[in-house]
Amino acid sequence: MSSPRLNREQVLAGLKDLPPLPAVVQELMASLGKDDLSADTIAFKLSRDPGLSAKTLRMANSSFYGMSRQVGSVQEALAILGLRTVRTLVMAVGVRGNFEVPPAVGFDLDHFWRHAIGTALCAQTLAQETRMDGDIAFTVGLLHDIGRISMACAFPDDYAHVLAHQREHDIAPIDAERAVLGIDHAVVGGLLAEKWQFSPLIAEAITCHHAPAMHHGPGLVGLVHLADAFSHALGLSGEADEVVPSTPPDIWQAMAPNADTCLRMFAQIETQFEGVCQALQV
Amino acid sequence: MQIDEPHPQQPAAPDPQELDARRERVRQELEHRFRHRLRNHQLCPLLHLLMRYKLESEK
Repeated sequence: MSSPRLNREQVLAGLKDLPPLPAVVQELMASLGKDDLSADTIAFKLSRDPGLSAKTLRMANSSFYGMSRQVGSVQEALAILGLRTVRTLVMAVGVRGNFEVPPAVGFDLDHFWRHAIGTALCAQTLAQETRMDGDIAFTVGLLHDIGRISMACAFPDDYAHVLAHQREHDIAPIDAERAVLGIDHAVVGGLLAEKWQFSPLIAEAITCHHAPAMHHGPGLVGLVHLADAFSHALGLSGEADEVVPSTPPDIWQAMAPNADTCLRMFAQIETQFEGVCQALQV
Repeated sequence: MQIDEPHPQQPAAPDPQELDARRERVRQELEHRFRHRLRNHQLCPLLHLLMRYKLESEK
């Protein structure tokens, strides 16, 4: 196979052509983990982006949130759903609407977003068990494979080769990317996270989610790695040939909840999953 | 003349053969998702948990 190979500079040049993340989303992303965000600030920021406000309201009014009446404004959504939920919702809606992959690539967007939402829910649920920040966990889960979709957008022909290679050899996407392009979605996702000025913690979790090591400590990297594995194991993407990645035994020992907790988590995640997908129109 | 009281509707007990077939399908689906790790003879605690979860919910 004649392999088009990408180096870091070519990837960075390609990422420049991607549409920028909406300013509100970028600002909200920067506010993760900080307590100084007010409802008024979110409402003000969103008022500058009517398109995103409308999408956020549509999601707030979806059956998943079980509103007894129609929510008509961002302020109302903030009052009823709370600040943290609305922030997560705006970020999810904003990121989801930012990527267009040409159909000829053969990249299945539904499978991609279903896996991302599944991983976000798994990460949030794991965070509750491990007393970590659920909002950060949800966001990193949602964005962990952002490098895949950005490569498919920025390098559609090359990524079509990756998908063909993956199918032909029945290998994981990351191995197909390394074989065909010489770079993988974890590295590219990390570069995009830096370009979009995500916090170093989030950028590291995206970059290392396929190779967690105990020097990262039992933190966000291990958490998103496990969440990715849980989401694949539960088959949430709906893709027939998905593959569960291998988890290093020391990460499993350090971070996986006990068996009964895992069984309870699986049930909780499966109960919530379709509702979140519907809300995000996936 | 004695009229029998109508029996309240009970959910039909699953046909054991159909149940076995469903469980076998679940087992195959899970083993397919974990195929790379099984091929490499890796320990898969997550597979065992999922198997337990999915098979229990098939009861």
